[in-house]
Amino acid sequence: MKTRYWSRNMAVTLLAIGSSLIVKGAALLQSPGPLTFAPGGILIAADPKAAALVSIKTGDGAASKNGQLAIKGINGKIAGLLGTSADAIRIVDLATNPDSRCAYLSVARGRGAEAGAVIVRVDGEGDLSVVNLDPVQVTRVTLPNPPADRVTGTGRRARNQRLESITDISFVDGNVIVAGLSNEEFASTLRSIPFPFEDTAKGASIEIYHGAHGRFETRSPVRTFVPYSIEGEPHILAAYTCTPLVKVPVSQLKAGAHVKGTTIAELGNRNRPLDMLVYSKEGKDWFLMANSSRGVMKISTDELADAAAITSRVGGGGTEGQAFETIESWKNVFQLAPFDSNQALIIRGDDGGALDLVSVQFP
Amino acid sequence: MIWVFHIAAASACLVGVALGAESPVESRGGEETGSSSPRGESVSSILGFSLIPGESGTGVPRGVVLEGVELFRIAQEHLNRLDGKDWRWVFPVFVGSVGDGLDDRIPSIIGQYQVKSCQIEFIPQFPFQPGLSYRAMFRVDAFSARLRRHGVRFQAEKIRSDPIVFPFDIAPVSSDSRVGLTHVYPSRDELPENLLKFYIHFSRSMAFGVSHRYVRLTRDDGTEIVDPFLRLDEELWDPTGTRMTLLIDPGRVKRGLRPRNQVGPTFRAGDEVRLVIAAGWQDSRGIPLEKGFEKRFRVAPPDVERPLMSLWMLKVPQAGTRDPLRISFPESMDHALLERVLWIDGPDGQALEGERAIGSGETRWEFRPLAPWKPGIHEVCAENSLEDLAGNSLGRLFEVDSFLTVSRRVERRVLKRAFQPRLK
Repeated sequence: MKTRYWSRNMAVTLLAIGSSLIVKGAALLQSPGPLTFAPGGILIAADPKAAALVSIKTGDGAASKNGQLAIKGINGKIAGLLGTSADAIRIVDLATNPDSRCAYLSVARGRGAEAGAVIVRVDGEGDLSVVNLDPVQVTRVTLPNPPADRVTGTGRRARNQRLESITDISFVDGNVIVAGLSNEEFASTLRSIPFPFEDTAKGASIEIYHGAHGRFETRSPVRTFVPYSIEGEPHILAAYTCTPLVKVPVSQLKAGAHVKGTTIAELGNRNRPLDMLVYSKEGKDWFLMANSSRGVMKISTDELADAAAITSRVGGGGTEGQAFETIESWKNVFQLAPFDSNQALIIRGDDGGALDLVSVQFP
Repeated sequence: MIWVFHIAAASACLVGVALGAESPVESRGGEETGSSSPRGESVSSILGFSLIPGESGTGVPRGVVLEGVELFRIAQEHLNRLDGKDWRWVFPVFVGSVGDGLDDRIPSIIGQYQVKSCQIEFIPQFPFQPGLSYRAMFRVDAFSARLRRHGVRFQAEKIRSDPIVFPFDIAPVSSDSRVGLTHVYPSRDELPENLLKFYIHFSRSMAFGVSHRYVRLTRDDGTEIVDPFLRLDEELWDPTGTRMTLLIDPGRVKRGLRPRNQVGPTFRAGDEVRLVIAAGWQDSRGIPLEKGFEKRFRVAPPDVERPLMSLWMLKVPQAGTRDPLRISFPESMDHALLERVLWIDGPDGQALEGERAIGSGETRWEFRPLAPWKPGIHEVCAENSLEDLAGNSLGRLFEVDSFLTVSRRVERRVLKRAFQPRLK
């Protein structure tokens, strides 16, 4: 049998032996999406292509004694593990198990639509492994109202091109909240799925709007958000694609609701929020927000409860709303997750270059 | 030189095996690192690596086989004591052609190891990738150590600790089928200042996550428009990876926000703008676009009007024919949504099957039914999500003036307009 491959320095005779081994697991996730953790070390992964969520019992043990993590060239290492080159690896999201401090990375193995979806675990010693998506350990739920719209075209060209990208997920108050963005109409839904998952999700779909300055309002896709309790009332703090930071009480996230977030900060030009987290330092809570190219923004939570909606135009260059500062030393951070009470776990690096997974002290 | 291996299982007595030049198994490509021994006396001469052919036509081997282990006279039951972790340490396979895998700390490839009649088979969890080099390795000393750990004594005197390395390359994909950029929508050469998105269509699946390196907008004076697009963690692709939705940063479209106030809208009426797509953009196989692409357009004043179905012009076909129904819109509509959310219901209320065509800068939509038109009342049906180029939909404007009465909830609704095919 002759097949086409190259072997340097030698002639190689091919041997055909055995039958093919079926590799299970990866197929349970059709596409890599955002990750979050539910209590009890349960990892929740979004699968945008399948419009589904899966929950995975990680079975992680206690946290490693290692108080820090620093892995240079994490993308190269993941590529090595998955048998490919670093340029064929995309890290889509990062989450940490708060109990074990193990890091979980949602990874695309491949460049395009046919890329495999893999979840890579990095333990406290820095060892990498691939999470086994054993059906026994995994529960899967399809999102309510998936974009199963009419197929366009006829015959062989018939297909449905609509896909909803999942921009963020988070566990909030017994529900998994999923922010989605359509690749066609400029609209998004926020869905709230009760957890643990049942066969059919009875989630609520919420349309989110942004009211600018009391007058104009738009449908405003949510790009990233974090749960945060304001005076005992659960809220989500969300960054819209059009950059304002808003607060929305979780109690408003009811099926079919039309929710308008209250703008609490305008982040200004070129601040493109990618990821957020909340942390405490010296008795105060702060938000951290990673931006695509600028440093990370540290945003005060002072007086969030009373924060009045921004209702007038923000003058050129002036700040308005919650006070924030930009941590210039945290450049090129594109993933953020809490690591422990004093540190964040971040992924940083140059676009197209080596990426590092490191724990760093909160600013 | 005679190499002597001693093997002893817990219950077995010591067995000595002499291996030498008369070894019957030829190396199938085993390659020693460091100096080689003459006359095939080394471990590499009794061990061979080979590739398992993949499915016909792919040319990508399915895995790697290590053979000749039977010459160590280790019974399969002893080999079976080694688990996947052991084999991954003893017989690792790495990406790349150099390095011993110990210093560079790049982990070996994950996959399944199986012992099959004294062959060890490795099947990677993900297929080997065309165009890449790999190397399989056998660590004799690690093999010995792992066997010992599992109660099998295996001693090899004078065995060098160098691993035996088998490099192999996977042929790159033929690049004679280069990917092409097939369409960009909107197709018109005059677009509103508050344009919200482009759709870029390709002839095959593209690489995701890199568009920001290859797509830019420049004004005709040569200046580049800075950060015009909304950059998302995950780009907006269709399920086949052949159509990308490129959103203009809504922070610069929407009025009254800082991005727009500070640096102005992405487009200004009167500008001549070029959308430039560089040829370096690779498809999902890693092969770049056959050529770059440019679309020139003039920027028109913003579109702040809601599209209305009542303003559509219908050219009604004759019953009994398969002539197309033609709808003309007063403005260009969103190409993807025209494909998906517009259809025709027949007199029985069921959607008709047929061919659709979109033309004239997305101001025209035609439908040719598979079966001839029946007489009776038909309906043009459109979901209220159908948008124009600025995100104003049949349901509502992109920016709603909330001083006016607006629906507090936008439900997905279907708007309909009746027509009757002409009778002869």
